[in-house]
Parts: sequence; C-alpha cells; structure tokens
Amino acid sequence: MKTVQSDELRTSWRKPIPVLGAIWCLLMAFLAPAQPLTREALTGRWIGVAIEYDLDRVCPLVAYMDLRADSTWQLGRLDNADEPRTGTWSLSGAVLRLDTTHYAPGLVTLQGNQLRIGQVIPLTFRRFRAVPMDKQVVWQRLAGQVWQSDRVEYLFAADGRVGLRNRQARTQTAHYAQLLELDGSVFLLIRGSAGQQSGDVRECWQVVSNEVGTIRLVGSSGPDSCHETLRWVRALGSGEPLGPTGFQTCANCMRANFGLFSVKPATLRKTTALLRQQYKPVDAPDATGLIRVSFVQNCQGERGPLQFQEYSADYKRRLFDKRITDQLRTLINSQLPGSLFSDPDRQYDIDVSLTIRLSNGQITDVF
Amino acid sequence: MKTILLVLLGCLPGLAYAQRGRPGLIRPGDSTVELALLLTLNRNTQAVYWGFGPKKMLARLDTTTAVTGETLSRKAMAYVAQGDYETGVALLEKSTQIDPKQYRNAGSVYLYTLHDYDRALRYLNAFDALTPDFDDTDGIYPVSYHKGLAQRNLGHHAEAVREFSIGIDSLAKKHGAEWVNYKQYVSRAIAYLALQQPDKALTDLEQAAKNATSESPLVLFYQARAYRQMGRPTDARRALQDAQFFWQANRVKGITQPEDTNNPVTEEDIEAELNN
Repeated sequence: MKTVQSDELRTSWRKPIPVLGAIWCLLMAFLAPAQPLTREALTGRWIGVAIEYDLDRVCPLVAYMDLRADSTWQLGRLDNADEPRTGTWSLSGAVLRLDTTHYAPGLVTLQGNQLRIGQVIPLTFRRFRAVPMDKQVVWQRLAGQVWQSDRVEYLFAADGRVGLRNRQARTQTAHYAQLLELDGSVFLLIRGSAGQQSGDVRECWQVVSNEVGTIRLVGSSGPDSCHETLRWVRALGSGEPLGPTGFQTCANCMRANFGLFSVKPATLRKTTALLRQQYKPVDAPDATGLIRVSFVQNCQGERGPLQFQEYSADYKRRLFDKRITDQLRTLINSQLPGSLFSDPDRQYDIDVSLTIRLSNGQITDVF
Repeated sequence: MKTILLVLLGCLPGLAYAQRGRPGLIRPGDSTVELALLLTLNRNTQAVYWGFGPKKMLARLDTTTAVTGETLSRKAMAYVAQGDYETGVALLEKSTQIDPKQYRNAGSVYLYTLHDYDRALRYLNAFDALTPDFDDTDGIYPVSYHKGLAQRNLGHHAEAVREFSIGIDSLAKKHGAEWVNYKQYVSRAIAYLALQQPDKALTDLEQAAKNATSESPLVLFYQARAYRQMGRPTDARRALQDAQFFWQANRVKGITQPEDTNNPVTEEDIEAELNN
C-alpha cells in the first residue's frame, strides 16, 4: 500500500536472520507439535514476542508474564514503564484463566517454547531462559560501533542514538538504543525516532551471548521468536550521519490504514475550499472521474510521498492527464499545511486519504 | 456478555490511538493496562472484527466459501475503504445481483462513501420498491431519509422535502412528533430554507429543538438562517450567539465534532455567520 522508508527497514526487521536460521525457525514453528496445556508446561516466566495487529502489522510485545506455581499471575513491561498488573491464574481442563479472563479451548496454544494467546489480535510469548550478563559490558561493546545482521547495519552512537541502515537499499531510519536488565539478563531495545527517545519499540532482543565480534540475540522476527546474530563491522565514524535518509514516521508500529479513519468535517471543508480556490482547470480531454490521494503525515507534520489512485466516473481504473495530478500533488504539498490534518493537542502519525471528484476538469467534490 | 461487549467497545478508542501510534499517550503495548485489554479482547472466539486488522478481515472474506450477498457486500466495503474503487464497486454490483436486499447497502456506500448521489438514489429507490407499502428502516433512519439526503445533495430540494416528510410524518402520526430523530427535522428544514420557505423551516427547527436531548448548536445555527430569511436579524444574531455558547460548552465536555455528519456545522461556520 504505502511505501515509506521505514517499511523497507521493517522488512529487514521482520526477516533479519540468516537464511538457514530463518528456515530453522520456520521448521521449528511448523514441526513443533502443539502441546496440551498443562499447569507444569505453563508455569514460569514468559517474554513477549509480538502483537499481531494485522497481516502487515506485527509489533514487538515488550512485556513479561509470570505464571507462578502459587497461582499468582503478573503482567509487566520489560522496561518497567508502567506498574505491573497482578492477579491469579488457573487451568481447568483446557480453559486457561488469567486474572478474570477465561480463554476457551483452542484460544491458547503452546508450541515448543512459544505461547500464543487469542485470535483477534494474537499475542505471542516465548519461554524465558535467563542468561546472566553485565549490561555495562554489552553497552561498551555496542557504543560507538557499527554492527550488522544479514540485512541491517546498526550504527550505535555513544549517546544512545542508533541509525538502522538497510544494507541493500542504503536507506536509514533514526532511533535510540536502550539496554534493560531482567533477572540478570540483558535486553536490547531499539525504540523511538529522531528526537523522540521515548517512542515505541521497533526491535526487542534478549542478548544471549556477547563475544568479541559477535553478539547473539533472541527476540522477535514477525510473529515468531527467533535468533539473530550481529557481527562487528567497524568503529562509527565521527560525525557519521545517524538521521533518517527520507520520510520516517514517529511511531515504529505505525501502519497506514487509509480509509479507516475519515478526515474531520471541518478539515474537509477547508481542504475543499483551498483546492477549489487554487486549482486551475486543465484543458484535457475526458477530465471526469475520481482521484484518491493518500499520504502519511508524521507527528511533526512532515508528509510522506503522495499516492494516487485514479478512476473514471464509472469506477474503472484510468490515468488522468499528468498535468492534473501534478497540479494536485503540488497544491496538496504546498497549500494544505500539516496543521490542517493534525490535532494540536494530539500529535501523532496520521494517515490521510482524500477523494477528489472531477467533472470536465473542474473539482466538484472532495471527500 | 453485555459487560464484555461494553469492555471491548471501551477498548476501541485506545486501540484506535494505538493504530495511529500516538506518542506520549497510548502506543501499542505502551501500558500494562492496554496489554491487559488486549488479553481481554483475545478471549473472544471470533477471529476477525471490522476495524481490527482490515487486511486480515479482507483475507478472511477472500477465502470464505459462502458467497452471499452479505459477504460480497462486506468485501465491497472493505475494498472501497482501502481506495480500490474498481474492485469494491464491482463487488457491490454483484452483491445486489445475488441478493436484492443489498440494494440498501449499495445505496449507502454510494451516498455516504462515494458521494455518487445519482447511483445512490437508483439503489435506494430499488430497495424501497421491494416493499412498496413500507418505509424500511436501518435501525436509525428510514430509507426515505437517505433518499431525501441524496435528493438534497443533487439540489432537488422539493423532492428532498417530499422524501423527508415520508419518514417524519409516518412516525409522527403513529407515535407522536417527539419520537422523530431531531436530525430528520433539521434536514427537512435545510431543504425548506433552500426553497425559501423559512416559516416551515422554523417550525421544523422548533420541533428539532424539543426532540434534541441537549441544546443543539446545529439547530440554533439553522434557526438563525431561518430568521435571516424572515428579515429578523436580531433574532438571528441571538440564535448564533447561543449556538456559539453551546458549541463552546460542548467543547468543555470534550465534544469537538459537529453533531450531525450529514449536516456538519462547525464552530468556524458559526463564527463566519456571526461576522457576516
């Protein structure tokens, strides 16, 4: 749908592992038989892997969940950004209860070391294996250095900034690195965006080995937990740019759902007025139909590339005269300020889609 | 079960913000409260919901074996929402061929989503013709109301009044005028104003004011227009000042959007009218 730079890198986030490793992970995921839920199998600490919002929107689940032998239950954030929730849990037959929530048989599955909860927005966890490590030692190895996986280069600055560079496309997005400790184990979080250190998490890895030149990680690769290996490349050059090379959304877990949210009536009215005032009809044959324009605008009001879908009046795909679409592109980018679509009190990434109806070259409606 | 539903509905705004990655407030999994809500949502045995995972929903509809007018209709709406009008409209047309009851949905999509009022009217008329002696309702408005809006948007105000009156008069006669949704009176009043009949508009707006559950800036705004047409500028100004006051009062309560998407009146509209 939309192609913004962060997506290219996200592809690399989803499949950052070596090919053999990926095949191994997939094989394990498919071949590992679903185990019956037993109290013994469930008891222990689980680390969040992913939240599956949609087919193309799988976000890291930065959480831990304790199912203790004394029937107490705790759900918390890995970064302790919020108070943990506590309660009790039980298993009656195949029905799991977490606090007051009961899951019907089949809604919770255990496959190997992976626990999957629900179907609407499934949450996956992996069984926690503690690997004691010194956070300072890990950071000393990362800071000021460039590391790489098969597809991504990680440019770690000493001040916590990190640039993620797609090794193939050479595009880069800006984030922050954060190391956390849980039970003596160390977790590496890549989060935020340029100037937004506390932003949402893009990658969440547990460091499972820290050797000279090689750092092994366990974390998420799409909905399944998987392994990743970072290899040292070089020292980060002084003044090496860590900023984004193109448009970047503020939120890492942002996916455009054009059409799901409509533009507010007041905004639509202003947009219509501005476009009607500024648009100069083009003398082109058959300038009747609809043009749908979609774009993403980040929390700082910066706009991503505009996408056009063009239709005839009877809704068949077509292309309008380029002078018409070029003019609309210019008008939307230059005459419609970012503030028009964003709420000053609620600054977040938004997806905007507008449909412009043209009749004989004139704008007759915008919706 | 109702409680569960309410809890889930309560999650929706938070999840919508999460969708948009609103920094500073709720982000995906930003708080344990939201994580707990996700855990609660996942107790549901239904795999897909409208609004949650549109691509997953579409994939589910694509692989569904039961091709009914309703499934085609839902699929059509999903494609139209994503901007694939060609596929969406083709599915919409097909849904009506399989199941004539889908005329109403097709009419609604053309009216509200695609602003194609001619096509909307064609389908709404076809739907209405299925039960010639009965003004079907979608639970909120009768089909005549949707037809009235289509006529009004085409600039056919007399026809719009006739359609609006079918829904208003039948309900008023059967149960009393106080049972008619006030927005129906507002819509008819706007058509009367377009026909330069401010007396009739004002009568409708007075009834609308009685039926609205709270003071309505929308009703006051159009009352002001009716007064202006009647040559009563002082009354018009007072109504606009009241409209502005109640708009601001609503804002304090957290209501910042126009009360009727079919007749959107914004604070800027009220200010512009006051300065006019």
